[in-house]
Order: sequence, then C-alpha cells, then structure tokens
Amino acid sequence: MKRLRVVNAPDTDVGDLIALPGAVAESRIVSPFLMSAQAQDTAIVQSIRRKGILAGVEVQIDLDGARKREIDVAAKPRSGRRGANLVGTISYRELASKASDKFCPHRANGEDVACMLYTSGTTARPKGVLLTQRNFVSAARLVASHLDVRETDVVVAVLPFFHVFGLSNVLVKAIESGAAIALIPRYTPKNLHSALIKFSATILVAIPTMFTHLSKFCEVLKLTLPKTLRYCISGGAAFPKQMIEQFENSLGVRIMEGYGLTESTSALSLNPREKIKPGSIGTPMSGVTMSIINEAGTELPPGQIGEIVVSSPTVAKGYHKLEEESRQLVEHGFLHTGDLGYRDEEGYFYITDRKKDIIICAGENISPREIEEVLLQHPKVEEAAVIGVQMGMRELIKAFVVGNEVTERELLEFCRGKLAPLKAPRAIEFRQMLPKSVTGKVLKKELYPDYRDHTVIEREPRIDV
Amino acid sequence: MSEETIQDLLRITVRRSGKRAAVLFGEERITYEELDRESNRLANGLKSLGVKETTRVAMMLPNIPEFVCAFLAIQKIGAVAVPINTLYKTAEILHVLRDSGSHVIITLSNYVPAIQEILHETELRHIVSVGERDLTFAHPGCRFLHLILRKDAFGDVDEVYHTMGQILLDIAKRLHVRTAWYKHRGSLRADSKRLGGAVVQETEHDYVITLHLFTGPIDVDDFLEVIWVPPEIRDRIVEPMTSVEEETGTAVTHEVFREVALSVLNTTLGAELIDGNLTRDESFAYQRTKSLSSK
Repeated sequence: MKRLRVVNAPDTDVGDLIALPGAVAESRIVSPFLMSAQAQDTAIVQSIRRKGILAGVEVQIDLDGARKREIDVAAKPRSGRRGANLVGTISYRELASKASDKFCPHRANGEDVACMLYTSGTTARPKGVLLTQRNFVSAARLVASHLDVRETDVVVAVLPFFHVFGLSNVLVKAIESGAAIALIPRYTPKNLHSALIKFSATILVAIPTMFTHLSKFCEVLKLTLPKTLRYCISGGAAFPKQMIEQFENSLGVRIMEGYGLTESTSALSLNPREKIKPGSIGTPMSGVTMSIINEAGTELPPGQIGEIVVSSPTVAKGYHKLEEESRQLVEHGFLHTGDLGYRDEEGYFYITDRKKDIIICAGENISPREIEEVLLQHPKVEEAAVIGVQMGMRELIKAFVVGNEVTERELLEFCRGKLAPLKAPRAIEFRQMLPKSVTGKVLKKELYPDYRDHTVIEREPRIDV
Repeated sequence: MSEETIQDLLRITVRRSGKRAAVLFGEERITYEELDRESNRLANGLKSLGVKETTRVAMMLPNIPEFVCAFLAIQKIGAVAVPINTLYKTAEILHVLRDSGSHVIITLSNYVPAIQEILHETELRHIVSVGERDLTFAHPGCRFLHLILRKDAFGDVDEVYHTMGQILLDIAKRLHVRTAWYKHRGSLRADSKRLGGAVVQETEHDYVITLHLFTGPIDVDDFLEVIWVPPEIRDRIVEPMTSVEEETGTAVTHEVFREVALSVLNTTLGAELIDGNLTRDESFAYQRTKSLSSK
C-alpha cells in the first residue's frame, strides 16, 4: 500500500469504537466503484474519554446501574450481510436461516453419549463426564416421583445450562414436561426478580446464594414474589437451615433441597413436597438407591456418618479418555459420591462434609463443616472455610474468614470456647472473599498454599534473538 | 429400539403441546413447534459444516435461545454437545476443546478472539458466532488503532495477524515494555498478563482491524458491578491485566500513543501517512450508526 489516511480521534465515546471504523468500512461497500481508484486505506487513532459498554442489540443492560457508575452504553449495530464479520467465523444466524426446517433425525441409542460435561473435581484439569441419552431421559423421569412439573408451568432458567444442574433439571426436564423455560442470560438479583414477575414464573430452580440474595433484595426494596410461584428447588451447595427458614418466612414460598452430581446427571434426591425437612437433601428419587457405607463398604444404620453411595440409571458412562478413572467411577455397582453424611429414621439424607476435606489430626477425623458452623455463629463472620494444612508430619487446622472488625485472636478464643481443643483452629486468615464455583461451592483446593492457577496463558520458554 | 432419547422427549412434547411456549426471553416467545423447526434448520446448517454422529460440538454460551436450539440440533444429528463454562479463561477453554476433540464451537462473538488465539492448538474446523448477544467493555486506559485496509494487501489471514502482532509488539517495545510478547492470532502480553490485542473483521474487500493497547491501569470492577459478577468469581473471568504505565511507570497520552503508532505503521506497512478526516459519505454513515447505537 502506498498511502494511508490517518484520522485522529482523541476525544470520543464508546459508540465511536464501532461507528468510526464502521463508517469507513461501510462507505467502501456502498460505493464499490470507488474500490480501485479512490478508496483510501485508513488508520484511526482513537482514545475514549469515559468507560463504556458495547452491547449486542439483543442484550439488556442495567442502564441505571451504568449511569450511576458513569459508564456509557452503546448498542452494536445489528449484523447484516453488509456489516463486517469476524474473520474465520460463520454467523449463527446465516447458518440457521438458510437451511430447510425439515430434518430427518439420527436414530440415537440410549447408550449414545449426548453430552460431554466438564467438571473440575479434585484434579487440576477438568474431566469430561460422558452423559448418555438414557442418563438425561432417566433424570427427567425420576424427578416425577418427588414433584410435578406440568405443561402450564413456567420454569426460571437462571442456572447456567453449561452446568449439569441447569442443563438436566431445568432444560431437559422442561422439554420433557412441556413447560416453558424463562431464560435469564446474566444473573443479578434484580434480573431474577423481574423475570419472576414478568413471566409469572411458577417454579424457581436456583442455588443457595441466589435465594439469599433474592430475600435480601425483596427485604430492602419491600418487594414480594409473584403469587404464581408454586415452589423453589435448591441445590449445588449446602444451604444452612436458618437461611432456608428465613427465606420461607419472609417470602412465603417453600424451598425443597435436592442433591446430585455431574456424574449422576444431577438428579439423585429431593425433599418430597408433602414433607420437607430443611437442612436435609431429601429422599432418593424413584429408581435411585442411596446408602451410607463405612470404609469397609458395609452399610451403616440411620444416624451414623459414612460415605454416600448411589446406584441410578442416571450415573454417567465414564470420563472421556480416562479409563482408570472411569473404571473407578462405579464400584460394586455403586457410585461413590465422595460426600459424607447420614440418613435419619425416615429415610431422609443429610450431608456433613466432602470426604477429601476431612482433616486428620492426632489420628482423629475432624469435620471442617463443624468448625465452619462455629465460626459462622460469630456475629462478625460472614463466611468461613476450614482446611488442614500440612505442617511437617501433622495437619494444622486453618480457617479462612470473610468478616470485618474482628481479630484473629478474638476468633481463636471464640472457637476454643465452643470446640474441643483438638478441633479449634490454630490460624485464621482474613480474606476479602472466598474462591467459589458457579454454584456457590467454596473451592477449597484454591486455599492451599501450593495452589497454582492453571488458567493463565504463559509464554512458551524460548530464546529471543 | 424402544428406548427414548432427548429428541424423543422433544417430539412427544411438540405433538402434545406444540403451540405452547417453550422459551421465554425478553420479548421473545418461542413455541415448541417453532423450537422444533428452528433446531431442524440449525441441524441442517451444522450438517453442512460436516457435523455428523459423534462429532463433538462445543457450546460456549449463556442462557439464550441459541443455547436451547443448538443443544437440540446437536441431539437431532446424534452429535455430542460439549458445553463450556463461560467463566473459563483461555487455558481452560483450550483444555476442554483439545480433550473433547471438538470440531465446531458455537459461541458469542466476544469470546471469538480468545478462541482464535488457541485455534491452531485444537481440532476446531469452524467457529459459529452468535453476534447479537455479546458484550464488550471499553476503558479510557485503553487506546485503539483501527485499520481499514484492502484485503489484497495481504496473502492470507495468518499474515494479517502476523503483521498486526508485529505492530502491537513494536508499539509496546517503543513504549519501553521490555517483557512484551505476542501470541500468534491472539493477545499481546507482558509476562503472563494481558497488555493488548487484535480483533480482525472482514467485509467483501476489506479487513477492518482494531488493535488495542492498555496504556493506563484498567479497573474493571465498575463493569463487573453493572453486569453483576459476584466478587468471588471475578478473578475467574478476568484474565490478569497490566498496562504500559504499570510496566514502565510512565503514563502514555493520546499524542504519545499516536506518534509511536504512526511511526510503527510507517515502518511496518511502508506507507506514506497523510492526515485526513472522514469524507461526507463517511460522516453520514457515522451519524447513522451513532443514532442507532444510543441506548
């Protein structure tokens, strides 16, 4: 190229990021006869004066929130045939609009893998869980023993579909029952509340933090939930009993807690509507066998803590490309969940801890959950996570706490007053926040001192010339 | 074969209550019949890209109608859906794409640059982009250089990325960021922190390229509050970032950036630079886009 026109744009806003280059590109398309002779290659040097968000035409933005923070919001133009497309991509719209609306579907088998769902688990690299057609169909059908989803229902899809809970219990379940799915692409308590009202939602499936946010949001703004809402289902992480009760008392809608894993296509147990026990993960769904076993593999009677094992048609085929792990997934016909818990006399199950989180101190098994619950009783503690840190030959109990105006010494003393000496933490570290998964589970592995972030792109070692 | 599959669940529901709403989204209401037809169309579209039984199709999408439709289309083909957490960063996306052996990914257009960066390390053959529901942030600490260039100036897209990477890298070096490096088709980084990047678009005859460089500290907390990303997952979605000012201790004004950028352009592209303004036609087009873009 011989000449390059330079346009200087020192003082612009976020909309100009699209409008300036767009205008130049568009004029060159509109006047093709200019192409060879007069069209000028152009460089635009641009700075913007304020923060801004560029949103696709179909994205809704919290405009009030943006205004308050002095963030400009601009809409991208609708992508048309004339507009610029990212190199090396195919537009979804074009792909879906050109083709015929008749399709002869492939006859799948129950054993065929429908979905490979990646889950982080204990290893650094996420593993691909192989979920079959049968897994999904069974998961949608099993739930029927515990709750009714009808074609007149409107289920709120606030949980991401890339997670098993949203994919299996909301998306596939709604399709199976003919219910409507109200989509919330980006969760905020406000988005969730307005969707519940706007779509006259009847069922809300969510995680504990969302319920807690929702009840605070309603309390502060003196709002209620729509009368259409029949019930709520919670899962994904433990939901403290007093918080469930607080939600139900202030908003008048029942929450049924359930339990499931990616490896079991979610659905395993749920509180039946007739008798809900807050704090319990409910009873196994029809077709699911759930029991508590000890280290030797013997089934334990009610009240005794052991590992939760299940057998269910929803249990995954295995892990992608991991033969050893796949073989270990099911032992003697049972999936070992890695969760510790117990069963009561009425067959309701309760979770106490993750098996791998158990701290072994002086040969004694110590439950981090028990210590976390004590810490949470302190009025200045908002969140707590307890782990065992290796110190030479022994494990040292360490607590990570989110809270204000409280000292380490104060908390250590508080714990000593309420826990056996062996169980009291030795160290407290204050954090602004705890690392969490999308479902609100604390990611304890990231609290260990040797944790390394695998998500960053590093430069390959090489020598610069 | 009497055992049921996901597409059977849909078929039964369409027959029983096809006129009922399947998906509600903003002002959109999609019935089960429409969802069935729409997923048929997409299934045909995906088939034309070579997707068949057992082909892995990655989906990196939030809860939008396209997710529902794509998931069902994949099931109808007998292919395998590989949903990817939209909070994953590049290295995790790479792991999932490689491990699953996905041939196609359906994603939002603002995730496309991240995919482009790792494309050569995967088995991906096609990127399908959903463009109307994406979201991009802009910050005053970031400076931009747009280039609208005739396609025939370059051999292929790789050459475009190569040249753009060179321009970005040269600008950074001229601004004394010694640790800067560029990953082909991807980002400019200082060590493992992001410092800038390139987005390459095309029309029939032109490349429309936007280069960006973080010159001053970028604080994204405001943005994350507007789109309400809870604090505990912020680290998960935002790649560590740095800026010229943080790396060198010197702020970069628009004028300094302009001067350095133009000098690098002159050397790299070998073109004579002429100061100019938008033409009348361009100004009209500009006004039109601006009026459409105000929310």
